[in-house]
Amino acid sequence: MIVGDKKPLAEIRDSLGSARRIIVVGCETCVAECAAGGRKEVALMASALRIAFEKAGEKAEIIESSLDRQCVYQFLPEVGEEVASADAVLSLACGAGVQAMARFYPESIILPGLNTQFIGTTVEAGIWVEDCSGCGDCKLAFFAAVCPITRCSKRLLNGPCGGSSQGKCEVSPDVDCAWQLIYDRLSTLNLLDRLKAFVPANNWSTSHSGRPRTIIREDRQV
Amino acid sequence: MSKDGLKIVVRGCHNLAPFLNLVKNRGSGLPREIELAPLPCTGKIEPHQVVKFFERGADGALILACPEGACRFVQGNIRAAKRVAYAGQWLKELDIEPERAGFHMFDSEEGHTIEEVINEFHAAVSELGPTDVTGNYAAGGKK
Repeated sequence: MIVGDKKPLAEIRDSLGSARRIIVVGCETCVAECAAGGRKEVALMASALRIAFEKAGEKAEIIESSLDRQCVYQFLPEVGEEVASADAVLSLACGAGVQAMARFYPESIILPGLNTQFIGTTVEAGIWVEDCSGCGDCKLAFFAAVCPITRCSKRLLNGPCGGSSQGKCEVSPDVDCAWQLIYDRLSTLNLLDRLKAFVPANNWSTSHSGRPRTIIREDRQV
Repeated sequence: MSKDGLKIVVRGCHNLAPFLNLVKNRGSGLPREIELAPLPCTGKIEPHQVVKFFERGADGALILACPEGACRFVQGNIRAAKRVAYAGQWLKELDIEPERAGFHMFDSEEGHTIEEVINEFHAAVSELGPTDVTGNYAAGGKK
């Protein structure tokens, strides 16, 4: 899922400018799972904005809404009326959701309420970790499904750097050494031989570097 | 509103017998204006509900949970403590003192009555005075 966290309220207030009829729109998929942009967080943000405006002595109307997925156009007409009547939309979706809303409602001011962080996993309640860099050249098959591009601080593809200690990365004792994890998993799976194979450099031409990426599937375009 | 003009909201665990007794049989030791209501478990409380109390004009919101290790749902009280603290972070961003969102695991063996705990919280909020949020603010509708 896409993991995000909320922007500081002061930054949000600044971005709202003179807008006084505001619709806060959540997204019930990734950002709801990471407790940043689902219905509950929409309610929290709306309450906070009402308090902030009242404390500033300003009148504003804050409307609460949420969509199943903000990054899919089919879901977006659901908030059409509210968006048309609002001075601004505060989206609690990821950056893709914010931009989808902006494309779908070109006449409306669409603002982000979150800082989109990474593609990650809920490893336990309240803890989300980055697991995928979306590099476009997935090599998880080589590494027993532990991504060194994302989880090794040095992005090493052919073995550890030697700086780890007791399974932790030298960058921070809070970070697992990806190569320790790779070794442990390959060992469990009895596949340690795979470490003898040379893994070619990542094909970064498929990554975000240089241009935004597009996937076209003609069979899905009908 | 209480006599000193403060609005205090108290929510407590349904399984916390002294709190439930207090809700059912309020004595004279507690201002009637303090709003009391039980929760199925304090683990049910969410940060947006705590902040909502303040949007509606509360000057203090106290969540009363079961003692540590005594939650019927194992971790409801611990969860509530963290969620109230998180709500406090939002209050801080709004220039509202985070201690106005109170949390207490009540243990009758501590030697205090639950009325005393509530009155103590009330006194602490009185020291801070009312917030400048009236609760009369025109809120938008919900979809």
